[in-house]
Amino acid sequence: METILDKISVRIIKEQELIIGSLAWDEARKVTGLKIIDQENGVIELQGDSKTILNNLVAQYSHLFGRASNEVCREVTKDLVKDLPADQIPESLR
Amino acid sequence: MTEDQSNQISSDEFKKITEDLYKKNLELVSLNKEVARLNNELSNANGQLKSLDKLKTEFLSLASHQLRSPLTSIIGYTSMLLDGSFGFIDEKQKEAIDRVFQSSRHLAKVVEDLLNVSKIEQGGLQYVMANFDFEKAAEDLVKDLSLTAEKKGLKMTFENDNKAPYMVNGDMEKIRQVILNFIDNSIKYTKEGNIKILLEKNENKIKLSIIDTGMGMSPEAREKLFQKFSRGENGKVNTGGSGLGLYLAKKIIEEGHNGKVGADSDGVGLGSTFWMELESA
Repeated sequence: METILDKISVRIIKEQELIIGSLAWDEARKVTGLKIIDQENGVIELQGDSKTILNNLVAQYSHLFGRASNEVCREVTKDLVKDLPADQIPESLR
Repeated sequence: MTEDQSNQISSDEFKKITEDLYKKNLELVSLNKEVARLNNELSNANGQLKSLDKLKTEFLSLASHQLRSPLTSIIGYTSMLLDGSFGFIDEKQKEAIDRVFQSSRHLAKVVEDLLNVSKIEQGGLQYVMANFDFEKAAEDLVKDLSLTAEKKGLKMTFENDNKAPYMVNGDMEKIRQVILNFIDNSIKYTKEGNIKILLEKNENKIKLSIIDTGMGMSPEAREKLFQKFSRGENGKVNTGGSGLGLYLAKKIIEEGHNGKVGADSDGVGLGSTFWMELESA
């Protein structure tokens, strides 16, 4: 079943895809614990500590594209993050 | 500088370029999203406007039809009362009934105009096209209206440029309505002086001009003249019109007959010329 953190991950990748194209998915694949099941329909699975995987996903983009990409991730997931308990919110999205 | 240092600089520069490109792309994406949102809003607003317009036209048509029958009845019976069909009526009664009769006729004209507007807007106004003598149609109308003009102390004349025949292919009844509307307007808006109806022919065009010494109009008023519900100089002159006559005239002549209509004036108080131009048959 899709969790909020799964939804957040997909939302980040899709928003990055709008800006950098399919490279967004290529970079997501490099994140340990993030498994892409169906790229076309945006189905992924987080295998492991979801909070850490999400932080690593944000960092993957930030490493290439700087702080601007951090802002994008935060902005696009605002509405989903507010439904998370405080201790489950990844640091990179606070 | 070592080879490593040189590579590090190069890598930093590359990262900067990549980040800059990312930011530019981000801007573009934001703009695209805004454009999409605005387009969506526009499309929704457009849809709503179309629905409202359709409703309005349907309502106009329904209301006009519902009003027509009772009006016909009022006009018919008051006319019969006036001509003595129901027996003698004294002067006071005659005056009162005549007021009812005139008001009903005016109302009937307004309803007819509204109906025609709704037909035009629904694309349903039919034209019965045939060749007819335009000069005769205009002259007959001038004769019909000359008494009305005389009662106001106006001199009304009809002239042509001696290039008969003046044959036109069109819906005679509707074109007559337009000529009637132009002459009627001239009489309404002219307090004193004269009205000249001039018929001219140039190559394959026939032009009818109604030239009066009436109240004229400003350039601003002239611009709005042929629009729906336009009512004279700032709408201040109460001439009892519906404001649809000129709008209909334009639709009938320009859309229905490929002709042209127009109005000229040297200014307020300096008279007007209303004209219509059609292709000769």
